[in-house]
Amino acid sequence: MIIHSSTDQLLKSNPFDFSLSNKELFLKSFKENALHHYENHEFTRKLWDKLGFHPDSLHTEQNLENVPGTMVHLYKEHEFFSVPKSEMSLVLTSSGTGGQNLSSF
Amino acid sequence: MKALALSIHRSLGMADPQKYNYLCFTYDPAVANDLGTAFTDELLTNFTGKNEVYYAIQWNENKNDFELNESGVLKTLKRFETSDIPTRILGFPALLFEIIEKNNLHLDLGKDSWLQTGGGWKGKADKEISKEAFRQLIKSRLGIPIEHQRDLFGMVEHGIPYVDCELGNLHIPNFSRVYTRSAKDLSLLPKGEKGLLHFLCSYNFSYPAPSLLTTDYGRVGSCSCGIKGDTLILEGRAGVSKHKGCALKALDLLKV
Repeated sequence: MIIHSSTDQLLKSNPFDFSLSNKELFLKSFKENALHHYENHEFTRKLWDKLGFHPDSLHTEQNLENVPGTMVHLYKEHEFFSVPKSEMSLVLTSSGTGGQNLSSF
Repeated sequence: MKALALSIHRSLGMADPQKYNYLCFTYDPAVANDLGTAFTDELLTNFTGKNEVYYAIQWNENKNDFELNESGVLKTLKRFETSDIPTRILGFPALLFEIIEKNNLHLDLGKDSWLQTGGGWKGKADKEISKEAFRQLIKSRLGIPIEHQRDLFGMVEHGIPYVDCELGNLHIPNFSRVYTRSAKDLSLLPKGEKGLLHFLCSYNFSYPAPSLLTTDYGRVGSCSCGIKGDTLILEGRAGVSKHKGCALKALDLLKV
């Protein structure tokens, strides 16, 4: 079991506490998460490399604004995941995407 | 994910140990347990005590498809109206609006009852009424107080629920960040300006969508309810999109 300490701590925090320390906790959690996907998901790594973004460049709240977005359509056309299927605990599918393969793992 | 949703709903005053009768305008999770919307409803019914739970979209073995049991809904609503236990309705706003209008419903479910909606009006844009008009209609036709009517916006790709406060504004928790971007060049827009919604989420390690650019327009706003942070204002789907939201698919089930 991989430990994601900042994310675990974030999810236990008050969702509407926007103190500086709690906002910084989101930043740390996001960086932890982005690094995980960068290291484990080839498409994300190649895309971010091409766009010149690396999760290590996230130091401030403002830096978060520069994270490149991935278009939602991509997830509807490809099955994407960053962990082995055997480690997934929940698979959810949108009821509205008739004929499209959108799932969240 | 369940703990995250519970903590958001609790912060917005929506978790309650009291028992409720539930009418869920969605898929029976016993059959549709991998659908995001069925998962959400089963999850939401666990934030309070529960008495009876009625799922309105049921599997029809003869048709080999889901269908809305409309007569079952009407009977259930009338039974809940006379029950000592308050009601919570969960479902798509357009579907509920059509059932109220089509059957000329006038019920009083009582001041302790709640309505939790999600999925928007997609596909019924011609019949869409403003959020304020919808809230007034639900108060007058179902007897549910305005402050107990809460909408929820969520996407399975993103996994963060945005939930209304008692004033009817969707609040953004510290579990995500929301930006808006120009539809022309994807440049970041100042807070408050309408653009394509861009979401950041940090908790999902299996699904690589930490930074998701959507085809929905919106704005980041603020609210005077006392809950800290910004709000999410939805402004509709961009362009002509082929993909259907959950609510549009559900409307296909209502043959009117």
